[in-house]
Amino acid sequence: MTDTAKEHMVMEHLVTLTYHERLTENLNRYADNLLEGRIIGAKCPSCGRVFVPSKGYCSLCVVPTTEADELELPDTGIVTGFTIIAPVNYYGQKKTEPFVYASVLLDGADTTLGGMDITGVAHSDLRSGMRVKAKWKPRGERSVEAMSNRGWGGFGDVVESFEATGEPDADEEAFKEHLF
Amino acid sequence: MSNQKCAIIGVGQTNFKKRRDDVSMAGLLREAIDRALADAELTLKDIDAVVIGKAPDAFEGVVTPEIYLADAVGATNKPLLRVHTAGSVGGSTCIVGAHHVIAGIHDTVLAVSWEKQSEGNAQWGLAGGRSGGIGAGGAFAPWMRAYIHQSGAPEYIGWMVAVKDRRNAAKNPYAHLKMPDITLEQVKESPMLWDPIRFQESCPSSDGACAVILTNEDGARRSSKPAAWFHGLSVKSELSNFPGRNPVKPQAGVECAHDVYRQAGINDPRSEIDMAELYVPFSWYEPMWLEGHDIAGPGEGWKMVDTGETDLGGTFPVNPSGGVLSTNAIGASGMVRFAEAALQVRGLAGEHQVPDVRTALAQAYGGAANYFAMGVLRTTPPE
Repeated sequence: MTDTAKEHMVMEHLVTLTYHERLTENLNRYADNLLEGRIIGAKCPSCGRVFVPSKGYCSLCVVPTTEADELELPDTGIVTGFTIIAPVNYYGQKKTEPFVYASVLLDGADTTLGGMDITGVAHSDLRSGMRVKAKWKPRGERSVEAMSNRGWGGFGDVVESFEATGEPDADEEAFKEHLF
Repeated sequence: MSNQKCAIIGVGQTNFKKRRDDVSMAGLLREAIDRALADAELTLKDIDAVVIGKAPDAFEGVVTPEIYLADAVGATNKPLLRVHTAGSVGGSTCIVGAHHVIAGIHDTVLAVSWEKQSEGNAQWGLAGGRSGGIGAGGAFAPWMRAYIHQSGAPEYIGWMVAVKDRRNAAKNPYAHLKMPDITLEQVKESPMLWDPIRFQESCPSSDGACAVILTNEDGARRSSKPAAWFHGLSVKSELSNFPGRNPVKPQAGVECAHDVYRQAGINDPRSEIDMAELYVPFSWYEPMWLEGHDIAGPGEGWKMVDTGETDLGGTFPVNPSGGVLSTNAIGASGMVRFAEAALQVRGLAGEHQVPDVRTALAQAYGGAANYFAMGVLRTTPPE
């Protein structure tokens, strides 16, 4: 078989599919508020746990949460779990330098925001329990397009990062049940 | 027609490699299937139903491959089911196959699972094609850090697991990474990928398949070789994220383990189980699962590593095959745990055989450590 014949054995088959996912009502309100720089959660009417974002229900009590159960949360909190990622190269990967991948528990919340960047601190000094505050993107640069009804995405496109505040670290008790 | 006893009477694995360009996906599966049938002294004519499993299609970019695989896996005019439970899929595929036999619906079932990762990019698949992907190692790393913090384990424990598994793999003809001379120093000096996991503490990306033949008492009687009998099997799951979830020791993993121990009449797993094949894609998951499945008490799992208890020659060998750390064709990896546990029970594991195995434990996990599949296999059928 000649080399030319071998070339014909390779099939270029690029498929694209564009689709629009309509966010649920609770996520729609959450997204609208994020664009305005406000973080909205929902408090379970049964157990009092605060979900950010609201799922529209409490996953532990299995009771619905409505707009009446929603509340605004501060943009401050603590780092619970984290790692430093050495980026692997793949098609579409733009990261080339090690980056932080952290979960942040907002003050007053019971669920964490995952995949956050933490700034204002060297990677080697990052700690669970560290106090942080959201560093919002300028209003026109915020995007909620990556948000999905599956419950993740979006937050990283409205803030640049969470920045270390320099306040004393929280006790382990505050985050040991919020590692995600 | 219920509550049949179920045994694994045939095991087939491909040679796992970085790339298997010599075979198609269908050919890869057939290689494992033919070896399992030869081991069981059967042909495809003897198979009543086929259960297959693999990880997300995005890992290879080949969508719903089951549609074109029916002939290759010998399922023409027979039931063909596909199972999907993320990384644990190989384990749950084996269990779904066993359930067919236990329920008395089919006498002899082929279960096969695979991944041909060289055809795509699992990192791309996990990232959904977006930038900033963290891979499975990145997702698990914060929980490994939490385990190290909570247990006070020294850093070298992760290196020890990596050295043990790679050296064990050198004794396994099917394993991907064989490093008989690897040292703690080499692991320690390898680049940090996802703190605390270094390059040599992470699984490779492999092409390969694994198949098992499951049958009832009549089927086992016809085989000239020993059978590995199921005494317990369980699949458990939980939400990936909820307030109060303990991702270091997920409740579903605890429930899954206690379910198989109860079925098998095991009160003290550490002394009553002779060896285990646990899903350890990153070194720290060995002590984490020893504690996560209550084989060791809190903070005691890493000590079993430290004292050599989990070595091939130890009192509780873990992953004599070299484990997922040495061979990871993702969809196949869970089934390899069951296949290798079966080989140990049957006394057919060759150079990495643990002496006198009567009771073996197989475990697979997947997703955000929220899917579990476990089994207990023994040399004799249940009472």
